[in-house]
Amino acid sequence: MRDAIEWALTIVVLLGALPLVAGCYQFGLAGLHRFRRRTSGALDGEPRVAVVIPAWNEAAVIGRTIDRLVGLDYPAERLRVYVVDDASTDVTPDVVRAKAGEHPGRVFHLRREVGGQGKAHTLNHGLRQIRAEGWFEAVLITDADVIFTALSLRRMTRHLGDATVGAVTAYIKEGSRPSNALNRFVAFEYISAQAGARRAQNVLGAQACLAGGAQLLRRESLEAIGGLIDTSSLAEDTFTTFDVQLAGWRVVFEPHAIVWAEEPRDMAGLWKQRLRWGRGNVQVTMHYRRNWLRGRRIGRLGGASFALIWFSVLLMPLLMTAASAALVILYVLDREASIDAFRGLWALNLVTYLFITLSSFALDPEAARRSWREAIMFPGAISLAIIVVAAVPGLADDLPDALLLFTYVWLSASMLAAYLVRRLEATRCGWAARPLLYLVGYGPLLCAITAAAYLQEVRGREMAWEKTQKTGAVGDLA
Amino acid sequence: MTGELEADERFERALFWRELAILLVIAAFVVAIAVLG
Repeated sequence: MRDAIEWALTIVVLLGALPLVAGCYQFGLAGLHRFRRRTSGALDGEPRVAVVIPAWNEAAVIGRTIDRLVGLDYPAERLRVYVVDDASTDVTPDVVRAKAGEHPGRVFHLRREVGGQGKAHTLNHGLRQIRAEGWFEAVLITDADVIFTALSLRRMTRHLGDATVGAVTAYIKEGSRPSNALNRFVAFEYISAQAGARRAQNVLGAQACLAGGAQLLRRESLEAIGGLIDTSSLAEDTFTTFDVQLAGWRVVFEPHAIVWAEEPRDMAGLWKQRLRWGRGNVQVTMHYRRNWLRGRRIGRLGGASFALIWFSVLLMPLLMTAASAALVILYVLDREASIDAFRGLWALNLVTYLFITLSSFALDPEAARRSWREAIMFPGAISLAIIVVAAVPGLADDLPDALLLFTYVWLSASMLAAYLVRRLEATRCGWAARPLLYLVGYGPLLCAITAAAYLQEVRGREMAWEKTQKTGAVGDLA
Repeated sequence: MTGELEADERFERALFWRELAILLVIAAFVVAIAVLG
């Protein structure tokens, strides 16, 4: 009986490695991207693209964004920009009207007099107008702060030459200049979450999410999902992505179509943004619950590989907490067995850490060079020390019991520590939050936000579209 | 544009070899740790 319990606990500990296995799997697939990449296809000239930008009090950024869009390397007569002004109370309407005057027939100001319902409602106001005009062959949904590089739209639209492709997304990079430590953590995170994971999803044939700031939809695929964006959740971009694929279209990530976005400069802003994303992902998981693991009947979205990738991220806080608790119980039952399980888990952690960190330098050398310190410190100094303890033979055996237990508990306690660091930022000792983030780790901070998203969803807290404040900090990066 | 697209494809081809090299280096590292351990 005791042996069975120990085995069961060891399995729970090793299940904590599931996100690590999924991470390695994704980066392995990313290396195979060249074999699945299809860029051929006949386009009878560039499609007519209507760009839709939802905007609420975006005066700091919207003028420049419009300038960059109309200046893209794309036929001028085939590109229109529609700014949907969600009852802005600043000078956004004046800025957009001025741009519409500078570029007649190319820039349009659509005004909602009663706003505040959120991004999806704002987008739908624009989509109704554009569909009624009937001019467009593809629609590009973006954000007011997103800066497209000159060839990015051409790189995206050429995928529409393949008649099976319904939507294309781009590689969104963190573009704040000068960047602070948090911006650099985000920059590194985006290498793995976008340049790595989305390449892997191209190889799998199923994309988890069109990046909210760069969603190019073929007209037919937009019509196939009803012509409008889902308004029932906080993850309208992920709903669009799933719906387009469930309607039988392919969704493709173009890693060389680079767009720059301004990301939060403090943990409070990051927390707010990612909590929205996290809650959105929980909502997506529940909404599409009949599609998981249903095999090819519903296309690649129903595959085991896609489920592994999706749930390993979603369940990470639960798996980490369960592994932590199992290690402590195992310690009480059999100290040696607990050390073996601990070493196994952290050995996988070491391999994953090395593989993902080194791969990131291969995937995006420019961003990785800029954020190399944050790449190394992504798991946090404490977790790195634990990796060393687990990897060096004999070290774990010689650890005092209190320290050994600390390493077991840290798997879950790191999330609580990250939460406390975020709270510290708002106090008089806020100056200590950034150094402590390097100690605790950015990864645990993301896990803590996911855990907080669960709690808010379970409590049924009201959904509010809390906009991330943009300041126009994106540098001249095109 | 054609030149840029060719550069994109070259990058993707090179990425395969880079990832393979990284995998081999990590595999060698794991074997070394296992042997020393």
